[in-house]
Amino acid sequence: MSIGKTSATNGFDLRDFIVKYGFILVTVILFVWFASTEPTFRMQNTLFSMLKFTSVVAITGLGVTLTMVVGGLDLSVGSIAGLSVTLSAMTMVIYAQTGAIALVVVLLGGVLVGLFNAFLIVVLKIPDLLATLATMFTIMGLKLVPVDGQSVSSGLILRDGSVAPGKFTPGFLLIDRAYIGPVPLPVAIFFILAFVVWIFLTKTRWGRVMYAIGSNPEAARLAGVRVQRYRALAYVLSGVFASIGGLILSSRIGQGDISAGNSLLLDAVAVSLVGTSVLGMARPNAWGTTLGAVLIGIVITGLTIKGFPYYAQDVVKGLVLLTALIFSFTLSRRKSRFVPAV
Amino acid sequence: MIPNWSISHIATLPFMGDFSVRGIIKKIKEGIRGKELVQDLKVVTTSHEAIVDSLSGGNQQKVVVGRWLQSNPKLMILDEPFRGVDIGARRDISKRVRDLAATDVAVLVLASDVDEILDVADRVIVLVEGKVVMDVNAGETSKDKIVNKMSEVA
Repeated sequence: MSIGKTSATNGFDLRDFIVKYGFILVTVILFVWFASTEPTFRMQNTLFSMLKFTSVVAITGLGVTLTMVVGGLDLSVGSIAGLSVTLSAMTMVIYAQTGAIALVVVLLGGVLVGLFNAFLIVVLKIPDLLATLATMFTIMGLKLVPVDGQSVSSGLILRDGSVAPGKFTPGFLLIDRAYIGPVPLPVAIFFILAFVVWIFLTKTRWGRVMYAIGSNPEAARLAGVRVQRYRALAYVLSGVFASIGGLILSSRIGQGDISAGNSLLLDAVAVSLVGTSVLGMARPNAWGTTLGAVLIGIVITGLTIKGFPYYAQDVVKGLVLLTALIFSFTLSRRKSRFVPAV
Repeated sequence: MIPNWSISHIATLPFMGDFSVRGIIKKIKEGIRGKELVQDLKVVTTSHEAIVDSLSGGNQQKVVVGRWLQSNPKLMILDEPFRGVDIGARRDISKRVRDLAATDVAVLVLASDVDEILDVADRVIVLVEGKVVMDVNAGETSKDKIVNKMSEVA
């Protein structure tokens, strides 16, 4: 019987090392390369704007990570973020309400969509991937109904011919523009949420139980775990995280852009998957997702500064994801590895 | 069995509430429970932190049965607790079950192997097609008598 350690005799095992630290190493190497060849990359402003740019993906990815922990996958996050943008714009521009009310409406929207996903999965027993896919399409279409398929910005002509009375409030716009010391607010929110998710998943009983469900739902059930409640919880949290991402996005764009959030899904799922490979953990985890998001931020910022065309970004994201998957599936020697929902 | 989990983690999973304060898991308390489980049931392992996948089938069974034995139950129902378990592990588990039965705890063991039953039981009830065909004290019967009853058509 081996106890999982494979390299007792020769002391150093290159494969183990690559599986554990390969990803961090790649991140550091790329960072050093960009930093040493591009002076602008080294500036504090660039670094913070890179983190700021990545914060929406990272926060949304943290939500996806929670659903991956219970053995699912939330494909509706991009549409929830998009819905958040439209909802916040409607609340402030069409109904002329305050930014605070918009914030509450958006978060409630996230909770509701999360509950809807949970209902489809837990009560109607639809497989996670298919249920959230259906939600995604539904939300993407549904959000266009009250705004007649138009982007919502101040001065919008409403159905009855009148002009929309409100606008994005300065306070709401501050979500993306404010600083805490030198740190942009979205970056602070990102790090705080990453820390909270880390504590939740690794130090609390609820996180422990969620990992149990993801690894072996039947064993968890036999241990007395209320499996379906935790799965529902994961989707509601994922909805909330996606709507927080949407809030930042909305504040950044400053109008109810109907296409906002469309590309977010792939990025958020990608960073969560990349995260599973970090430190050879072979399971979804908060720091992995954080690092995955930062890595993709570094790569995109670096390539942009180096003058690569925009479409190179998607190729690179794909390659980053592929590399991560090779780390966790091909190279890892762990017998039982995390398998995303199918 | 949850892959890649340590003995301690498996041991405390059903009782997370007892091992956490305001949701935060108490690692030391959890470690102690794991150690007790390893000692109590003579689990063959390097430590209570060992990954359950590294244990033999019998020792894995000790862990999953043992964690319920540790919870001070009033009634315990064990459904085929010895299935796929080697004879040494069976002795260790049944000894622990008997120790528990010697206190105020009622233990109901379901099994289809007569040797296992005689190892552990005070009272033997034989069911054939859902009907009780035999109900005796273990000391007053033998393997042959039980097997005969079992093969009787109700």
